[in-house]
Amino acid sequence: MQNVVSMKGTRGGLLVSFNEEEDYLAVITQFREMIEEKKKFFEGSPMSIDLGWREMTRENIEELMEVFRVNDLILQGLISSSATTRKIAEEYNIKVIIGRLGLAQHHGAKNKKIYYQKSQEKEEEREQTLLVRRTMRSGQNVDFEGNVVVMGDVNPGAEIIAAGDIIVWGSIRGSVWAGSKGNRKAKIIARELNPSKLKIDEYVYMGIIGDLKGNSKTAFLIEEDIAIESY
Amino acid sequence: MGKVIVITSGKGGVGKTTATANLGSAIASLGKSVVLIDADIGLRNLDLVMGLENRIVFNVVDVVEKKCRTFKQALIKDKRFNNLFVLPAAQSREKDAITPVQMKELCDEIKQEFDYVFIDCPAGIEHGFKNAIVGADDAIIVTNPEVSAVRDADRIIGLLESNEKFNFNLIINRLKPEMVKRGKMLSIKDVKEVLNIELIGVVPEDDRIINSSNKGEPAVLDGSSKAGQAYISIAKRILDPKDKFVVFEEDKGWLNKLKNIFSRGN
Repeated sequence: MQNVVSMKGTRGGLLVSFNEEEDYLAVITQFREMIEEKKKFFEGSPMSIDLGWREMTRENIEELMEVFRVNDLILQGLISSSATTRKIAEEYNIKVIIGRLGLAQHHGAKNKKIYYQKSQEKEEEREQTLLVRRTMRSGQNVDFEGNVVVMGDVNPGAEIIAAGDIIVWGSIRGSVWAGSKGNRKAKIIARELNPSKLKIDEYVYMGIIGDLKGNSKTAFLIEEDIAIESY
Repeated sequence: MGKVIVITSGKGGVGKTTATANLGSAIASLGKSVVLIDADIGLRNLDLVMGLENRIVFNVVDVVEKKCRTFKQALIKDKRFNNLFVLPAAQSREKDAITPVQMKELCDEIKQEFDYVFIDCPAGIEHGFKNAIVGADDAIIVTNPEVSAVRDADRIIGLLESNEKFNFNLIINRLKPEMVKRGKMLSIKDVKEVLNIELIGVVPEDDRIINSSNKGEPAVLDGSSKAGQAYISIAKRILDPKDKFVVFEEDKGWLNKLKNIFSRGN
């Protein structure tokens, strides 16, 4: 059976969720019991209540406020998806935010940023990779918002622009640009590196690539210079 | 049913027309029936190299515009081989006088009755190029051992690859072995490394080619022409891919060749 009342701590204070299907009497009774059980613990702590889609009446709201008053709790606000409930709550000068969507707001600004960063990291992990299964010849170009892997050569006159890394299972003789949308971590890896132009982020390789021994070459940024390493 | 092979290069002046004339003549001399189509409308050359200019009555545009009854009426029979024919280009028209659909129909029609159809492709990658490749089954890419020709050949291969189906073969034309040796010219290996397609033959630089083109007699008819011999070996490999690959003394150099001649004399 699903909990009638569930509680969890967030950075913005305690978040209590009332099951929206249950009879209100059962909900408020259980809530009261929960609070009274650990009265000392809850005393003075700010709390928000997520009502879901539940339609609250004036009596319901008053009942809820009574529980808060008796136990010295602070009602931060209500979260509700129902317009009627929000309207009534506002009459009682209670801060209300629109349900579901409001949840993120409840977590507070700092927390929100973390969420944002987390999702961005995930985005990077999930970054798309384009697999080119042929030699790229003169006049052929790829501009991709992710990594590019070529199984073949990149011939002179061909061009790859990738927001992520570029990996070539062959020889690079054409023009390559990794991290085109600004990514200092982008790398270019190839079995032979002899490009007509090599660019990472906003930096262009100006040097001469001599006879590096090794099975593959990697180009990457160190500060403002492009380093080429073989292994 | 016969096979349609387009001879193309991207860059101009690398020897497409010479290759068409010589391969056509060589394959005809090996007993196959051959038609050479000049797809370079407005800049026709193939008839000159074949020495057949004064025999032209109808041309390829007349055929698609149905000005003659069948394509056969426009075919010019070669002076030397009974089984070799040339379908000349129109000189006073432009490339868009023929649509790719018409060209495809024409190729399909001709290959019903002949063993080999060679199409001499114009330089460039525009309308004329599209016309030339549309009816072809295979492609022979002609290139010279120099960066610009190789770059253009690479572009052409890229275009053909995106155009499905093709089987590619590469001819490296006008190779100067002694320049390669001095490191002043791209070697066969360099070219193969970039283009990475099947090499069917290497044709050495030969001054006699200019003379033979001017006279309208393909070099394959001249037994002492090295280029001519190279084209014959390529023709054999077109008929049978297992035929021996002959590279004309890339590594030997002239001195060794002289030595060979003397040692043969002894």
